[in-house]
Amino acid sequence: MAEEKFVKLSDISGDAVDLNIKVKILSLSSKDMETSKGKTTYHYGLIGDDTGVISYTAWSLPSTVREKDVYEIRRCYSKTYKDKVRVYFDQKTEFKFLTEDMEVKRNYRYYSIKDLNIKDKFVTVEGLVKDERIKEYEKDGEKRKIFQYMLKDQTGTIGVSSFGLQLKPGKAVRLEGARLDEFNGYYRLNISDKTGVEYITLNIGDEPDYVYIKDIKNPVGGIKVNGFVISMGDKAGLITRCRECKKRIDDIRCPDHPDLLPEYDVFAYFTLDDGTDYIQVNAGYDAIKSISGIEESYLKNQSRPPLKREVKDKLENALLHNAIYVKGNVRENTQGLNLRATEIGHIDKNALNEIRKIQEEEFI
Amino acid sequence: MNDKRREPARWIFSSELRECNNTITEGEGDYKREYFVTPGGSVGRRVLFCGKLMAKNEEGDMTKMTVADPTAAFYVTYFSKEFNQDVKNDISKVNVNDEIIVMGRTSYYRTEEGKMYVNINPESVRKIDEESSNYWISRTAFLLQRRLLAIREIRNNPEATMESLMGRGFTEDEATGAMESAKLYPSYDIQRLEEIALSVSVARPSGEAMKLKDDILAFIQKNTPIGGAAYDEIVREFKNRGVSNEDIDETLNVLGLDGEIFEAEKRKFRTT
Repeated sequence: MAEEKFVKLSDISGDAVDLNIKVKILSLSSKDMETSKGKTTYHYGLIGDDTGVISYTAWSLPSTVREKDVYEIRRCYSKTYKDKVRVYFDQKTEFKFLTEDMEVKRNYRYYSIKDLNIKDKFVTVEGLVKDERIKEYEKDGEKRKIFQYMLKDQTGTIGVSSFGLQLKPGKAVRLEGARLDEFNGYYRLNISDKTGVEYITLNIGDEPDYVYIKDIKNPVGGIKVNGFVISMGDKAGLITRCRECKKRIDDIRCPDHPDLLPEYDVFAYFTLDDGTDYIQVNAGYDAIKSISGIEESYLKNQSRPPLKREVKDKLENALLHNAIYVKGNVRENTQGLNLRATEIGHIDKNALNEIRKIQEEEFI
Repeated sequence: MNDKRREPARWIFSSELRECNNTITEGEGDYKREYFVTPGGSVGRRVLFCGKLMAKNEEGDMTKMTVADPTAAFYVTYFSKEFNQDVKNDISKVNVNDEIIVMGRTSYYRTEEGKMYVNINPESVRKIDEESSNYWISRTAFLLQRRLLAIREIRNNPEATMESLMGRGFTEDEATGAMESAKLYPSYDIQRLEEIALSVSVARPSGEAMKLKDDILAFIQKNTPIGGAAYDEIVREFKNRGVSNEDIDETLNVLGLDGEIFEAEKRKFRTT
């Protein structure tokens, strides 16, 4: 009888049948599905060997199969979907439990923060740990902690939630196998005990690099772009808010706090075009304060309240058809991606030199 | 083209638009759209450009403007209609010699000989500063260089596809434009456009730098003993005027390159 041939995961590159593999089950999850024959459950997760890690889907799985165990698996098959290979188990697939352990080579793909994509859920990223916040919660009667941070690299920032493990703010870190998800329109990374955390040396400038609007594909923070403001929203300008709840007031008074006089605020939304694409930008008063020259004293002057037309003119003069840079956070909403500005300024000589340098580097 | 998205404004030099003699159409009836296709691979029906307003003539309800960028001139024609009075207001605020930005739709006129002229119907016109103008020039040159690279890829490999171009890092827009250009202008010499992109992407001296250049030249002319004006003397004089060493060195280099001065002795300069 011919010797059975086992293939390594790194050698599985496309559609193949009757594969024999020796792997460790790294994760095992299940999902219910409605079919014409009724409700059915399938399993999915990650398997690994000493050459790499691959996702699997099990249409059929013996109930004895457990996470972290090692198996010889015979007669499985692979398929390529959206350039990614996946291994499938079905009723023909045989599992043989092995008592040995297996060293698994993790191969989470490395991403710059701006290039993170929710289609790749487990990733490797590097960046500077900033802005620690600690929250306590109770689970099963036990007090636990979530540590929250911002992780910053040269291309952007992203929120990080760590369950149990406290990171060191001010230090650069490499996170291997961090889980990416989306919350409230923003991407976020999650660290668990399976995530590799290694402190490293990184040179990250205070300022993020400029990115082209064409390259903004996902909702991450700390992005810096440049371009011309090609149009401004009709409703941009002077608005009123409730002093108490800060909600925008479209009527004369806040319905929840009708006794309080409203306060004035400024809001702008516009389209920024950098020649590669365009994006909608929202900006509150803090972001537009310095570029518009609208002082707080002007907004708070009760003896001469601000005028809508005056504010609109100031905003248009500062923004419309000017070359500006915008720093901010990209958020996904029902209309797609938009940029919430945290800082806006005109393109000056220094900014122009920086932009030229980035452009020139592409042709070197 | 994605109908749900706003028609993008193409950043394009006048010399590239003037070379254009092909359009493609999409849709039918009321939805028929005519897009220009330039030899440099730009496809669109809306443009955004900056330049100096060289002429502005009003004739009844029509205003004609000529706007020169560093490569040639755009022709802009505005027809006053009820719905575009804000543009009329924009135009009234700009004057000849102002540096302006224009965004507008393109329309086409073809002569009996087959030559095509592109006119721009402005949607917005506004005066801008020098940095904004330089930013537009620099970015437009960069975008042109990228599109020309994509066209070179196709010419070097006629089997190239949209997918292979995008696989090499070109955007869908760039790949589409390059494919259309390669199809419609198979024998166009793109070297001309490459030279334009290269020449304008070199930083233009600012108004301030031009003044410094004149001042340093005048100083060297006035203070030229035998052997020439010493570098240290020039630095001392202009540092007193608040000019940095870097700006002085850069200006001396520019004067040398322009042939306005030469180094008569080591670190001593004379005018030519």
